[in-house]
Amino acid sequence: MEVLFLISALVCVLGTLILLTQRNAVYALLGLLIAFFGSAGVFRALDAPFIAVAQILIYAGALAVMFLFVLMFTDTRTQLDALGVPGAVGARPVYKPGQERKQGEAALKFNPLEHILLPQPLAAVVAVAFLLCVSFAIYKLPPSFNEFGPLPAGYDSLVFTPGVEQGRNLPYGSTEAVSKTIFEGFPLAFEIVSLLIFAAILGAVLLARRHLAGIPGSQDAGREATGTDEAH
Amino acid sequence: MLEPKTVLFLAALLFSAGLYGVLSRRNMILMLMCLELMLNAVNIALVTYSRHWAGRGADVFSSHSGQFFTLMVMAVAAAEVGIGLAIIVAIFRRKHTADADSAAELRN
Amino acid sequence: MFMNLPLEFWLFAVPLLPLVGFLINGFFGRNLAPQTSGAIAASSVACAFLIAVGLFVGPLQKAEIHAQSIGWMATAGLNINLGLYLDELSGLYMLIITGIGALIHVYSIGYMSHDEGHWRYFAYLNLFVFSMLMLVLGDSLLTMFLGWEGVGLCSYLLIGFWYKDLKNTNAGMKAFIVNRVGDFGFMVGMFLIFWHFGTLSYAGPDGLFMSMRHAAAAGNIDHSLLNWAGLCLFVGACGKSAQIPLYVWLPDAMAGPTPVSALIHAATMVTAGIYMLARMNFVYVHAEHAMTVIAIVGASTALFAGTIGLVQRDIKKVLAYSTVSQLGFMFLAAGLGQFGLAVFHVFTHAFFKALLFLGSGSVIHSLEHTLGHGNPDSQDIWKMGGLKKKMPVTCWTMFIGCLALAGIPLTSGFFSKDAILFSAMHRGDSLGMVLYGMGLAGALCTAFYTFRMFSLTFLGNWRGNEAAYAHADESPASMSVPLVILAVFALFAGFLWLPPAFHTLGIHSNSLESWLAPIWVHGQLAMPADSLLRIPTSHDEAAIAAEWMNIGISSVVAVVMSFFGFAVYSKAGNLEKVKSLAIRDGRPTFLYGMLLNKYYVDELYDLVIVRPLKVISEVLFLVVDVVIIDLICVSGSAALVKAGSDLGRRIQTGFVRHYLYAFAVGAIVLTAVFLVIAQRRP
Repeated sequence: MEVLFLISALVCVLGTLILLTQRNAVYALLGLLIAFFGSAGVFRALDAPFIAVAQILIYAGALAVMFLFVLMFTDTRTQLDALGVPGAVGARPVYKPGQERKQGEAALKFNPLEHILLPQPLAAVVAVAFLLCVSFAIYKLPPSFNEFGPLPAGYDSLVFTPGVEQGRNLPYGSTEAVSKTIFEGFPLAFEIVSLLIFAAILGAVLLARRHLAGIPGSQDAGREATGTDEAH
Repeated sequence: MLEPKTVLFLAALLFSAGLYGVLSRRNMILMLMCLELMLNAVNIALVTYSRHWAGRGADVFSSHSGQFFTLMVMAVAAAEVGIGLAIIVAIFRRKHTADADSAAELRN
Repeated sequence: MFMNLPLEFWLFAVPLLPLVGFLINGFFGRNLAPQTSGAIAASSVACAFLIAVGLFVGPLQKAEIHAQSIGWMATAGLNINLGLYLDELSGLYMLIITGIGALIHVYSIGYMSHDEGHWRYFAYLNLFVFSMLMLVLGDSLLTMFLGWEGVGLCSYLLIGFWYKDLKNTNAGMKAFIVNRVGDFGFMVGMFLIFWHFGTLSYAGPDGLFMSMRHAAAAGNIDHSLLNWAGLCLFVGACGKSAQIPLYVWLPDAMAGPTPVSALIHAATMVTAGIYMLARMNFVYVHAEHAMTVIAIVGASTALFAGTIGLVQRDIKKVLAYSTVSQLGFMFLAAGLGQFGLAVFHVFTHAFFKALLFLGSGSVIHSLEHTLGHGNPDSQDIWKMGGLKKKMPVTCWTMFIGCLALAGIPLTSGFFSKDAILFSAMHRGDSLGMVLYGMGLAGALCTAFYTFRMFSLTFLGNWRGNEAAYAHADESPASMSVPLVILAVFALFAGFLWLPPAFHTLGIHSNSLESWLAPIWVHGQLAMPADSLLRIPTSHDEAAIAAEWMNIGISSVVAVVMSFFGFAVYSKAGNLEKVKSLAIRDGRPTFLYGMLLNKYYVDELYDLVIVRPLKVISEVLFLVVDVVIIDLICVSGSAALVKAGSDLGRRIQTGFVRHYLYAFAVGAIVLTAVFLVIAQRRP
């Protein structure tokens, strides 16, 4: 278990590093994918095989594909991120006071605040501060967090399975134990989440639809903007 | 020996890394990816607690509620990514960029 | 099918029907024809009247009805239900209001048929009836106050009905403001009652009735507090029922349409004060000083308004002052403890005063055809005369009304007024005799000016515009039929309560007295036997003899003064002599001038109250309004907010990243604070 955890944690960190450093969005997504697989390994190491499988199915499978799809769907230029470097491909040029730039239909004026908060060093400071805070909190956890206790032999099953003796036959983290928790412990939350996902589906369809009658910027404005874009 | 504190530190590390990414990136799609990383870190912490309480003799619901909430987070994250990406697509149609700083109409 | 509905339903239907009429006319009346909106309004009140009659002759004969319904407000120690309470007193009032109200509504259909604001008029009229019914039927003082304010509002709306004329709106405002003064007194009185009894509801085991009886039985009645409460409530009654010193609004209230005057003077509004006194009789019988004040104010008002009425030229003003005067009689009766007689006078007065107002409205209506709407000549009795030939129905019904108002024997007004005068005489102390004298003088004036008005209007020769006389004609049936109905009642209503002296003749008719008797029980029970406020139950021979004497005196006074007024003003030749008596060398004589200017009371109020108020208001306006409120509070706070938001909006950069920074830093700070707190904890 420890070996699995160590390897998985390393994979996680590696994926995260790729995600944070790659300018190309597709590579960054690959890093994220690696990190997801790593955390699936962590879940397995923590005796949660069902969560590990769900992690791979949902995150590594569905979400990553969705990201990839949207990356393809948008412009190739947006696949590169400037990381705040002036003059990089796809970056917004840093403009000087008094200078105005036409972007889309909105003319943006120079805003000094935009330059006061330098992106990367400040972000690093904030992130490290947060890490220190939380690490201190973890360090201060009570001694009971120094080691995982032994897993119980199993939990009572309510479902009668032929040939299996009743009682103490559900191992921790098994699919049946998790589903027992879902359907007997938190059925209402489960149903509400299904509603939420349904609403999200409708919302995503509505937002991403190209033809929105009567809404500015959905069809006509888009076409117009495309024209100006091509003129560049 | 696998310690809960070690795993929690890994979660904190991933979370901070995600925070750094969200703050430093300007591409909205990449920001969303880093956000997913943060959520994933939370999931690791939740599963850790789940395992912790299972080792302390909790009953089936208490010891699995951490895993249950991990599933909830996954579902909510899926919904969030769906909506978020749809918004990004809509913004991209208008602005022809996925730069988060380009959508600054709420200023002043 | 409807018979199975509970009594509470029918009781609620009585006030709610006019409310429904108000809503229909108020929301949709603009598109309705005058006849339609009038028919809706009149039928709603007429239906209410039919239900009221049904309740009166049926269930009310067995027991009073208490319909508790909606919880209105509930606080610690005070629970007000918006319930209705129907007993003998409120039942009688309910009949008067809906019955006469229905007649006035029918009359109004004819009167307002040419007015473009007819729907507004009928809506207000219905709301008026609704408010008055709530006042009367409410089961607590607070519900009464709701109706009390409602009639105040409606009188304001109706007096200023022809709002395009500034004079009318001013009259409406005057009525409202003077009533507010009274309402203040009413509220203070209500608070005192609540303080003493801990409740405002009448009925029920915890209600005022039973609380009073318990307090009396336990002997812990706070007489001083009840005196103050009674006085404060009386101030409210003064405002509503036009007593000195708050009577000034009523004569000005003539600015509204004439049927409104009839409604205000006969069926609603002004009788509210009497109702309140009668309802709270159990308080007043223990407040002797307040009762003395009420009696003196009542008698003074009766005399005072009667003398002013002698010289008025406007036909409606004459009637207005006669109302004030008759209300004075009612308050005199109440102040003497004879609440039943006060209610009896309200009852008879409702008929003949409604009749007189509607009759005068008929005259004005027919003259306005030629003279034009709002022409003061159409109301000036000096510019009338000889209308008997043109308007026979109006003339004869008005004649009956005048008989009743003047107190000619055997008419309704005679019985009620005579009984009041007798109870003053019978009181047995010097104050009683003074009150009797004042009342008799008031009755004397009343008889005189009543027939002065009648003679100048209907007898003699026409003195005004010839064309108006030529076109004057009897009013339509919708106006004349109510007149006839009211005339019948004005003649015979008095027979419901004949004085005890008549019993010696073998005529026993006192159904109204015995009907109302249960109302006074709560008050009379705990009274000392020698109290001057006790309602006499038996009459010895001396009392009967005194009563016969009183009847004789009143009859002689009424007949002689009526004949005098009749004789002086019906002959054209006498008019010049009367004028020369009043006006010498082109200037009015002192007495005439005093009376004509109503003892300069309006001018006095103007000098003492209105002008100082205006000066203070001016100063307050300049200092408080302009500088403190407008400049500092309003503009200052607006400028502050603007400056603050000018600063604050710069924080909103619109860049998502910046919001995220704020978010992250906030999370870090919260975590740090949480950690520090956790460290501090042992």
